[in-house]
Amino acid sequence: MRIEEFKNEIKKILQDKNLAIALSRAISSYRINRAKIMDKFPNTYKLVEEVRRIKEDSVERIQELVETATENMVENGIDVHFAKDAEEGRKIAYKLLSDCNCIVKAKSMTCEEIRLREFLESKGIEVWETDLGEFIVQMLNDKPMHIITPAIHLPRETIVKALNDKMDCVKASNNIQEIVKAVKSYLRNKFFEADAGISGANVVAAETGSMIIIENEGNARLATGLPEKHVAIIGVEKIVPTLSDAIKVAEVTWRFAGYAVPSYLNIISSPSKTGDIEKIIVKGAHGPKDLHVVFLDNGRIKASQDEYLKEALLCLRCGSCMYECPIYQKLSGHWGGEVYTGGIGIAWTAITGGDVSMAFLCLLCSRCAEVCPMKIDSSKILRELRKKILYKK
Amino acid sequence: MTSVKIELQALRIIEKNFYRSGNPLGIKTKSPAEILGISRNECRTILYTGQSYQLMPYVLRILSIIDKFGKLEKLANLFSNLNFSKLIIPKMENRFYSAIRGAANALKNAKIDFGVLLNEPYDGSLYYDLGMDHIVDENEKIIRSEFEKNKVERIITISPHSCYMLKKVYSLDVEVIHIYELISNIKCNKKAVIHDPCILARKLGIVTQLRIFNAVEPENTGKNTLCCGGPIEILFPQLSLQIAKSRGNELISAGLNKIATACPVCLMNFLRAGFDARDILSFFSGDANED
Ligand code: SF4
Ligand code: SF4
Repeated sequence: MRIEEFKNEIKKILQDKNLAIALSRAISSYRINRAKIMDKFPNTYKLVEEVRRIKEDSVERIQELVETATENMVENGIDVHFAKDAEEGRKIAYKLLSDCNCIVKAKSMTCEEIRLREFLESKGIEVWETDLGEFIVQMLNDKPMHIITPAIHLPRETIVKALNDKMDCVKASNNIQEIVKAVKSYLRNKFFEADAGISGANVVAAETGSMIIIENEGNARLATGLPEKHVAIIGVEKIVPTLSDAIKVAEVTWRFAGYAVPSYLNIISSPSKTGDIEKIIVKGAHGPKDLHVVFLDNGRIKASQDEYLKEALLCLRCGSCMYECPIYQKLSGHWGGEVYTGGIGIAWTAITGGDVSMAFLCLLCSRCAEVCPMKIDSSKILRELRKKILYKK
Repeated sequence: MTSVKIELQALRIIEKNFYRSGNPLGIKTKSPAEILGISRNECRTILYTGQSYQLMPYVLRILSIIDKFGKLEKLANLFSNLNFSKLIIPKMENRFYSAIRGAANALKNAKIDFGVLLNEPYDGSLYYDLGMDHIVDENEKIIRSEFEKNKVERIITISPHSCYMLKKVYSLDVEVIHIYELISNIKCNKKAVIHDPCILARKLGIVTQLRIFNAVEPENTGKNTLCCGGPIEILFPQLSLQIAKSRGNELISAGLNKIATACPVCLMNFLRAGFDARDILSFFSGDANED
């Protein structure tokens, strides 16, 4: 079990000065931002109640919403696929992407869950993470330590050193602006070279067959807009009934992720098309001609029937609970499941399959529930998981 | 249970100790009657400590031994067939017992009549937290029968963990009240930085009722409190200690080195991390050093 080896690692993690510096910088700027934002948008607190109801209802109707979303997406010209587990997800994605040499990828925990980048790389396809944090993690051959801020565990000094070692053409300095500029110029050509873009989605509206991708960097916009093909891997729990529901979910997500308003809100409902000549619709005007959505189950539908795990399906992946969890504040993403970090990450590991023994680290303090927009109390789920481990359920 | 690999020995010992002594440490704790110097009267209202405040001085000692000599497993190996209570001398016990004395005085001041149980069972909270529900069930039976035997109608808890167990976990046919719900009218002018215990603030909603002294508010207070790290002290002592240090430093950065809290686990972990901590109830103990 992971926890047995982990016990010996804790001391080392606790002594990691770089980790402590990076975490305290990230947590304090998150807190300052969030306080400012909530002051400016106090209505967010009202909105969360509505969003909780929307998500509860959606989890309840998860199978029906997959069907509705599929129907409407197909009507919009999207090819929709359904993967029952990670393996099937990888297979479908490979089938869709096997003709590609180069792929640009936007940040997606769902892709991480099925280890899509590593899988495609093992098939000889070049895959570039284009979100800055994910790119750094890729360059360091590390794991994303936070669902919103993947490189949260690294102070700038470590990042610069690693990037200087890996990116032969660009030399970044210790100045954050310079690091961003260097990565931008390094990745620029990849966007143009890429045969396909891969993304996840933050939320999907069943009624219109639209997916929403929230971002600040502009990389998701490029990755999903420039190449000829776009493949989106989306967990089925992301589907809500209507577009207005989806916008509400998105608004709460970005607010709790620490942004007043994101730079870009991408709403994608069909492949790129034009009817400008004789009103005849032609696909692939400036954007992708082929648009594929792979809906991933991987334990979610089963979890929607489980008294405790269904609560975790309400998660918007805003990352608040991690910044504010006392264990996370010490261990960062070393605590959690192999992919999903923090207390909620262990619940997600229970849903998607994997070792959940790290549940024994939880303080059962419910601080996460206090800061979570959905009021998800990971302590309740993790105590249940302890029982499952002890009684081998 | 026997096929459990995780923290094998620690969990097994904790389990075995229940059958030996009714609590996770396998020791005989002092009863509240002994600490208060009273014998049980016929009162249907009982001041219940759940052994929580009495176990912590032993935990504090065990942890200081672990800090010096390494893992609990090693220690457990050494002591597994011996009697813990004969070998482990409790540490800073007065900090914990004075909370019980303070509770009794505060209730007297509030003119509330109460008795104590001579044979007071453990509250079961650690077993519940660890997910060892077979023991939680057994413990519930023990508590129920003890309450029935003594015709208890009303329980006044002093540990948040006991209160949570009695109110939210067990289904007992008694009224359960936490002490601060009864003494919130009494005030004292002692000054300290307040640390709200998580369970009390978030799971039981008791926040304003604790402010019966001159409480200095730190960052992250009330329902927004940060955990002391105590609940994982046995399984992950180092991590638990680091969390206590961070929270303790946050507390004293409010401008005062004196910390006051309302939970034996928080108290234990702050003391372990070297902070000057006390229980709010100790302010009423009349002890000279609890000023
Ligand atoms: S209950 Fe567990 S997951 Fe939630 S904040 Fe506390 S330690 Fe973290
Ligand atoms: S559990 Fe709540 S706070 Fe944590 S990531 Fe999910 S929605 Fe955000």
